[in-house]
Amino acid sequence: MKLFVLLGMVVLTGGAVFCQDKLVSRNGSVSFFSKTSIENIEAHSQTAVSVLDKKTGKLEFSVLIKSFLFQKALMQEHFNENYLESDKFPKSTFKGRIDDLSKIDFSQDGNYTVSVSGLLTIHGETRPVTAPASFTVTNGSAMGQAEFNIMLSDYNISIPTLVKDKISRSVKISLNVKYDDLAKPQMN
Amino acid sequence: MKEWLKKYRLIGFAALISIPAVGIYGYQQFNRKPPDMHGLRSSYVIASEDLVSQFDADEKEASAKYSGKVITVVGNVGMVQSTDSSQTVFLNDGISASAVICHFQKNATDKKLMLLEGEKIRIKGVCSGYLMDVVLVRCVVENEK
Repeated sequence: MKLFVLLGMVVLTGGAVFCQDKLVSRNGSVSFFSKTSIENIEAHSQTAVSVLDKKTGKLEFSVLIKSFLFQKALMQEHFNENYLESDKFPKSTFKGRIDDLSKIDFSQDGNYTVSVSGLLTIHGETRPVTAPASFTVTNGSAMGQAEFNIMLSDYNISIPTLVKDKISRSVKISLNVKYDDLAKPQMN
Repeated sequence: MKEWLKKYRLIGFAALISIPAVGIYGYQQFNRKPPDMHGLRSSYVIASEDLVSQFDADEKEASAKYSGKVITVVGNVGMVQSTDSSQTVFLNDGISASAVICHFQKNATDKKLMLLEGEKIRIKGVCSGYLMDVVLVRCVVENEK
């Protein structure tokens, strides 16, 4: 069963057994930031899973909502219980692809700027997103980075009336993922 | 003294005490930091392979049991990955594809974890669920050297 999770992601990202085409990360970083007049809201998770198919450009991302850490306990409680309802919607996912994969040469070390698009699911709501991303290739591994904004209302995340005017309706999401070759053992 | 004056004085005194008290409580709640993991009692102590197999067998049931809870996991160190702000320890049995991923924040790893592959360890953390692996955050080592 546990293998099925990994293989499932591999299959979904395009072609089952050719693992040499797959890059994987099991501790990707996801953070979000929202500027408010009361206080800035910021949280980080460093346990996201992502699989990237170098051949097709297909990309998948999953993060556990309860893995987001805040500086303040109350914010974390409100985030899980009132806003994201993490017991009901424990994961957030992205399924998409690199639109201009031909710009990246995974056999050549370098920095590549591309566009990524796909479906982002948060709080049980799925919406299309497109964002600029960059990939830094080093020795067959890749570091991916992306940043984009979402509207809370698109994901059915409601803000209590009391603080409605004080909380930004958009949130900046940042991704930072170091991919390792699935075919190679991961190094410390 | 008239009765009504006495009553209003009492109300005024109560307000004088309670309004700042509520304010202080609210301020403390707003700024409350997550509790120190060292001081928290684990709801469960479990071997890493047992935890993974429970999530494998029935993720929904295992999530209801462990997710959001402080648990102690006993297992063997498979791999340690470090960044500037954190360290991640993978506990696995060397056979399974899945592991228990234990995430240590920077303040928990001021002293860099010096762990050997295969070393048996007890790690306490908050279970946040299951992706490819079971994920524990805000981890601390229970049997520190």
